[in-house]
Amino acid sequence: MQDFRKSYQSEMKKYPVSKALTRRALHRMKEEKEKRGRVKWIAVESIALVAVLSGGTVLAVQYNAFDEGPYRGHIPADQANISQVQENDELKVTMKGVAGDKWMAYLTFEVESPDGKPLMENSRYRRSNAARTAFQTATLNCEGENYTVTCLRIDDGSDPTRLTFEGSLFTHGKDLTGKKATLTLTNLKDDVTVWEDAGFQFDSLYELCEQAGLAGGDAFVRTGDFITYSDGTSAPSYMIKAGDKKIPFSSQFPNSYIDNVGIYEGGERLTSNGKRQVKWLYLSITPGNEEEAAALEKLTFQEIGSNRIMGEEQIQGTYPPGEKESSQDYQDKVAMQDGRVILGLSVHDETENGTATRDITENDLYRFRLVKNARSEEIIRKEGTWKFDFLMDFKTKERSVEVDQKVPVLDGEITVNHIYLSNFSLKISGIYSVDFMKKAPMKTEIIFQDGTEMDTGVKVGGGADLNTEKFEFEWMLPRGIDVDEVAAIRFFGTEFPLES
Amino acid sequence: MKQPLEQEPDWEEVLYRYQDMVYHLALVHTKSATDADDVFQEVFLRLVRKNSAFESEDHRKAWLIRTTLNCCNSFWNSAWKRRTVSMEECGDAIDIAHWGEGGVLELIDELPPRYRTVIHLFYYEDMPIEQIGRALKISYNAAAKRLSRARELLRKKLEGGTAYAGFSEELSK
Repeated sequence: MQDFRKSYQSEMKKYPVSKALTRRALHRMKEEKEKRGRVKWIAVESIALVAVLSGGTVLAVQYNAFDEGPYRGHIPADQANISQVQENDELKVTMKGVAGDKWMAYLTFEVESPDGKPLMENSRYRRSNAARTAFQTATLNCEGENYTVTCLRIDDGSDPTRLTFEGSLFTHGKDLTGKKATLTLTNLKDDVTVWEDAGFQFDSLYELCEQAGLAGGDAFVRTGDFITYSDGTSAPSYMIKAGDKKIPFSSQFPNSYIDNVGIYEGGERLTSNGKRQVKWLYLSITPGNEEEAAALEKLTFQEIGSNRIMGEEQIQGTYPPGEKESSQDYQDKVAMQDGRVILGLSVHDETENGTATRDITENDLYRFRLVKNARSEEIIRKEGTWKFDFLMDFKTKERSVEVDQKVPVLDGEITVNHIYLSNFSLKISGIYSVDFMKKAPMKTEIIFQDGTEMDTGVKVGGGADLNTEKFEFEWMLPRGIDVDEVAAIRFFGTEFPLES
Repeated sequence: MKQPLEQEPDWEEVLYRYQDMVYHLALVHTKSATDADDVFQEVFLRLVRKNSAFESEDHRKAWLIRTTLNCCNSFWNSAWKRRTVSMEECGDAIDIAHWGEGGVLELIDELPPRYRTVIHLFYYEDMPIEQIGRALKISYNAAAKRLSRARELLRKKLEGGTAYAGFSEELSK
């Protein structure tokens, strides 16, 4: 039997870097080094929360710093077992809490702008990506060993002068409980989306659609599969046909025009609605000349007011092969485009469980406009080093049970041998004789003594070995728990009581 | 406490250390030797232009991976036009008409780019999930989920074909 990793590596090595390419790159690097200049600091602009729309309507759009909602922390907000402040002229950092077990540790800290200047920006052409605000380095040193701390924002983004982070680190079984530790944070950095005005001549997409009129279903043609699911079903991919309209839309693209616009299905299937896909807006643009055609490819949608860029994923028909669709589908679409630029827009709502894609509506059209050249820029927002000495003030509580119980899964069964549970971690191991990893939905829940349940979420580690038929799966729990309050674990629908 | 890496390293040494990684990642995404060449040069130019030190080699590696992917995406945006370039114009490009024919590469080729990336980093670069997550600026959970989905897609493609040992090795490297 061939080894997958070795086969892949050996095939890939048939395509080495040519000496000529190395030489060219070195030459250009040398030239670049000689002409390089320093990057200038970019001033923070004020946050715009209101957008003026057509007909004199003033629509207040909630500024949401997170495109997909903030990350949820593992430590309760009221848990503050540490209170240390480190401050320089640039930034005040307050360390607030630590929790963990012998596999994971979580730290919370708040950063505040001492002069009240925003730590994020949201202006006409720039917008901070809150989910990517982070420290350039975050390291925990404990007993001479350094652990990289991954920092994620857990505030809701509503106060640009005060941000809250949760740092997490893997201790890989090394019990740091009660040990002295030092957390060192350096340079607060920001990821800013930058874009340019596209000379869009309408207040929003609504006015454009109103003038153009929406095309009917016969203006769309199925081109292939947008995505094929593991159960063999697929979500179709569609293309809007070229229309006969000639609607100028941008002062920057005077020779280009919108030839067709319509709303039709697209994207992934809605799981809650069987096989139905959501409705997208499709926009077909005929470039006036080659120069405009190249620039039109950089058009993208922006939400008015929040300034959120909707991203490249909404551009349809210009996908590379393999990005959501097959190579053949891509080639077909390119042929069908015949030089047109096709844009697709889908919308989603943020819910407690994440984002929920839904049909685009007429009201949504008021929310969007076209901009161009959106790109990401990483900047150092505040320079400095902030250091905290503290105790890893938590205790690992754990429960471990040998069960040796068979569990029916699909048309076979698996045997669960061992369950380990701690404050923040769950591990289940055993033996399998059915390909459950591929076919069975793996839902694992913790059942508490008071009858409440907690979904453990997506497993994060472990795997199944095809040769030995042994499996071991690991989960990072979505929040810390008291293992003494756990009554049972439910795995593939079977409950495993945890005896004290 | 670890010191940051030098701001002015030996560029030649850095290039030799990472050229294989950058080039192959670009090749996996662009599937074109000429595009991969362009991405390769652009990535190392951006490295020189970057005017701050990396905290560690891991940090530099993660930055190079992200920049390679960003450059690939930029190139793809205009790829459909560039594809009209004739084969003669490709110059000394390697022949990728037979790219991965019948092998593992062909299977990986059919995956969406985001899955190709994690499979490549995991199996070719031998990177653990935690490092993949850091490199792609996604959480550990997201990286693990992406890898798991990529492996699921691959496993489906492998059904009835060549059996590969080591494909199901533990994910928690």
